[in-house]
Amino acid sequence: MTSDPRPIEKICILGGGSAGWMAAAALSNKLAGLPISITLVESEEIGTVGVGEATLPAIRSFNNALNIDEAAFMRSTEATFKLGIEFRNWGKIGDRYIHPFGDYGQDIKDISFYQYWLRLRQLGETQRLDEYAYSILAAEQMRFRHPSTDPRDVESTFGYAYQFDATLYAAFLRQLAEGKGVVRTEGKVVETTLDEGNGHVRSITLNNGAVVEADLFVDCSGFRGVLIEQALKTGYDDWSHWLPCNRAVAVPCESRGDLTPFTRATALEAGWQWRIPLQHRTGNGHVYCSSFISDEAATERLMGNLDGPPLASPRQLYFTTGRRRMFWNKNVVAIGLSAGFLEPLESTSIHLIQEGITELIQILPDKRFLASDIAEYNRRIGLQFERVRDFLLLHYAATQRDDTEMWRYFRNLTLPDSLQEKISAWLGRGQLIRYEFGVFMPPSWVAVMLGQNLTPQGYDPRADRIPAEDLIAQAANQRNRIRAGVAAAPRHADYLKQFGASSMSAPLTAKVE
Amino acid sequence: MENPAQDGSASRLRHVVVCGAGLAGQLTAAALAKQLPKHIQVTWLKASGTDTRDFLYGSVTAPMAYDFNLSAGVTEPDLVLNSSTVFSFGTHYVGWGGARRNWVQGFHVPFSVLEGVPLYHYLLQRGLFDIEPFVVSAVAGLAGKFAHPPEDQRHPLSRAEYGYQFDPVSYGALFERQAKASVKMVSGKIVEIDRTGDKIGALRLADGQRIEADLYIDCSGPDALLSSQPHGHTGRRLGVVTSQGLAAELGPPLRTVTAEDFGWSSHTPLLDAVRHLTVYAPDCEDEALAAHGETPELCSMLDLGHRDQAWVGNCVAIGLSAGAVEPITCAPSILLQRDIERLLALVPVRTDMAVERREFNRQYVEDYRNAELFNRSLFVGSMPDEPYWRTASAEPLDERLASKIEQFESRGLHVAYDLEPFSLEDWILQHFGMGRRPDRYDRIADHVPRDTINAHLAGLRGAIDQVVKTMPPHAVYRQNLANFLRQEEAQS
Repeated sequence: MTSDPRPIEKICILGGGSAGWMAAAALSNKLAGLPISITLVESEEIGTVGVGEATLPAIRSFNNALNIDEAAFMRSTEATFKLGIEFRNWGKIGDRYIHPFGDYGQDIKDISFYQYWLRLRQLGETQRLDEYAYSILAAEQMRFRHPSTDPRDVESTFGYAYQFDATLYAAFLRQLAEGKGVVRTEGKVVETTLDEGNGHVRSITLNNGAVVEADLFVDCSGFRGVLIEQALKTGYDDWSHWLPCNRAVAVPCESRGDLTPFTRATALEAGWQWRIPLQHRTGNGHVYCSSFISDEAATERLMGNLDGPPLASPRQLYFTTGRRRMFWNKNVVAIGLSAGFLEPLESTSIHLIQEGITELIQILPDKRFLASDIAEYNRRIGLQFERVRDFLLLHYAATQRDDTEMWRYFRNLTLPDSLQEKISAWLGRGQLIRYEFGVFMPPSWVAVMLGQNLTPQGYDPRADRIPAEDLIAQAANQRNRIRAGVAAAPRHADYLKQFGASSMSAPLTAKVE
Repeated sequence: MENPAQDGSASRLRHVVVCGAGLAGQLTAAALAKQLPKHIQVTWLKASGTDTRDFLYGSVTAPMAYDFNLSAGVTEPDLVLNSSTVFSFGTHYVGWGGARRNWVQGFHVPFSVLEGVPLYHYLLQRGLFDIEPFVVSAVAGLAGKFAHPPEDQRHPLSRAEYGYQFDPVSYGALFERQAKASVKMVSGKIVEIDRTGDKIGALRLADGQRIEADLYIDCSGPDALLSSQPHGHTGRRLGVVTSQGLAAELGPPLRTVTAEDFGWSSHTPLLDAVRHLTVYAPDCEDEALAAHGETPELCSMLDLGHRDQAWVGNCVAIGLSAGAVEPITCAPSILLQRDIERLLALVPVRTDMAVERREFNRQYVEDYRNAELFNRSLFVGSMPDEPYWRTASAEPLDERLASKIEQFESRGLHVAYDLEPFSLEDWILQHFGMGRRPDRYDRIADHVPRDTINAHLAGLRGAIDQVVKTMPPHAVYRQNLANFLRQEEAQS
């Protein structure tokens, strides 16, 4: 059976959360016209995690590939625009910075602008690096507009993503996927049948008696990993040593005040709290480590820290940070929470789903399920996970906080070599060790390292080539252009309306007051 | 995390000395002179004359030379007017391997993509295993034609990229002129090196001078005069001879590499000349010299391999001092350029340079390893049963290369690692050239209607043929360009 080189004919996606419907929409679109049937099995009894989700700019290319109309998608998912993430209390209590989607200033003589900024500080200039980032100034002023495509415009120097309701996004994609022929089957898996010869999953049996056979199973069943783990016993690499947070409690609340075009992550005593603004409500959650705080105390901390009245009772989530030992094992590819979990501090959950889908399409197997295909897929996704892990850990490592047990834990932690080298190179000379394959590029590392008070002692000597007075003038010019550009941009809430992205629903209000 | 306190023993970097007369020294000195700020002094210690082993860098640069040259202060008009440098669309391999294959390894920007699938999958879908007619640099190169690729992306020639065919003496001289304008020149022979542990304290010259610097750049060629560490010879030993013949007319913008039983020989057209290079297994020297024909002007043994570390203490090895790769592709000139770029990005801020050294060495090992994959790949498959070919194909196969070949042969998939010196296009053209045939192609290609694909492929091929017809011969183009530049110069 494993020597059959024929193309696969049947794909079964197990699970209908954002991972499942993203996979269904992308696969049905890419494989349109080929003799491949796609079934998605989901159960209405099993809830999805859907607490409001923040994304990265790459989501736009995912949507574009599906020919999604942006305004329609935003209306359907209560989406808002996102220019970055505001981090509060991370370097030390009272600090705040924005990790923007976009670059800081324009390169001069092929050297990154932030190097000149390091020099400007030594020359006594006091402006924040943020003054050179359109996305940060716009976020701070609650403004938004679409980027310009003309590279000469200062409005071309930023990117954006969305904050949306993940449950509504899944529903939106479901429509597209069903339109492209994906068959949705209702049911819960009660049994998995493995091939006696090669151990592949041959079929799943549902609680309604239906049996679904497929060549390829995409396991989007969430934390449980019904196929990848429960059936195939693939194993899990636990990364809790580096990222010990293992629980979250989430609750939506009424929107209050300005509609922020950014997500917020506030560091707390035993974890951190997210705040994700949607059109009709605000999503909140407290990610924490159970060794350092009780569930009750964590919930209390969250409930005392909301913009407005809660709209539901808090929901508890449990997880172990890490990755499935193989994302693809035999004929099962795990995408989403079944593949691994990294806390949503940098909005990477949907991005990792997207990477999983993109690589699966690139390396679509035939019925042989060649070991070389599986190995290459696992190598690619493994690299993505590891690089996100290092970036998340940077937030906990680059801090002066030692006010609680959790922060003291991080102070004593030995970092992975890959991260330690990056920090050393940064502290000495503002050098950023680059890679090609990974989601976070140099400006993101600059944002977090500077934002959390890792200030380089030196800078690239090549930044000394231009005379100080020229540099000061050029820098002032860059700041002025950005300031003027941002001042001319509309308010985020107004722009949503103007763009036709306002949802029809009224803002939610708490039932009991 | 606390910021570490300043190391009291380290001070600001003030003085860099570059040692070596050859191409590596010329390029490094020019780049440092142009890129470093005034408060870092650069001294260039250079014996008189030129390095006689620069021919080991080969005679073709990759397209990235254009930007590098500008960053070192050497412009393309300068190369055209003041050196024998000509344009290059790539390398023509002739009679390669056991199957005696011929192909043009053309320089190419990313392949066009139809419905998210790169062009070559559509060729595989149709059983077309000859990609050359769809590669504009290959078609133009074979026709002996050249013109600068236009920026307008609708123009078929915009898909081409070009490097340079160069003679190290006249090419390097332009960098030397540039460097001389701003670095301190010292000539002399090193007779002694003062060392404390890994660290060089000073260089003593035959005339009694003592040169002291914070950082030493070893550009002395394969001898690596400043190095305290053994050379990283890990690979084969090859004989290399070269000579230059006159040519009545400038040949095509292609270097030709012809497989021979004893090794290979290459012909690189230059302005008014052709550079001949013969590379052979040491056992086959007589045959190789007989085949070379002309009396060799220069000859050398080349020991392939690279070191574990190119930066030791306060001394950085660049180019042939750092490692040697066979000049069978443009890998040696790419690595020379990357060595210098890596150095520029990591010129230490302070005399305590441990962080820079570690990062430099990490990137160095990656660059050499990745470049060697591309060369090694030329010997995977059926090879002639002759000493040169046997030893080349018996070299160990890096797991990265094994993956690249396995994935291409399995499904036409390109496996890439971080920041490799050779691009997807380079690899795909080499795989096609070597006759590697994927078992499968990207199935997404099947959902594009056949008529659309036929029209796309026929259109592309027709457009390439058409544009190549209208392009001038390389010789005419270069001559006209030189005339135009001279007129401009006269007017300004």
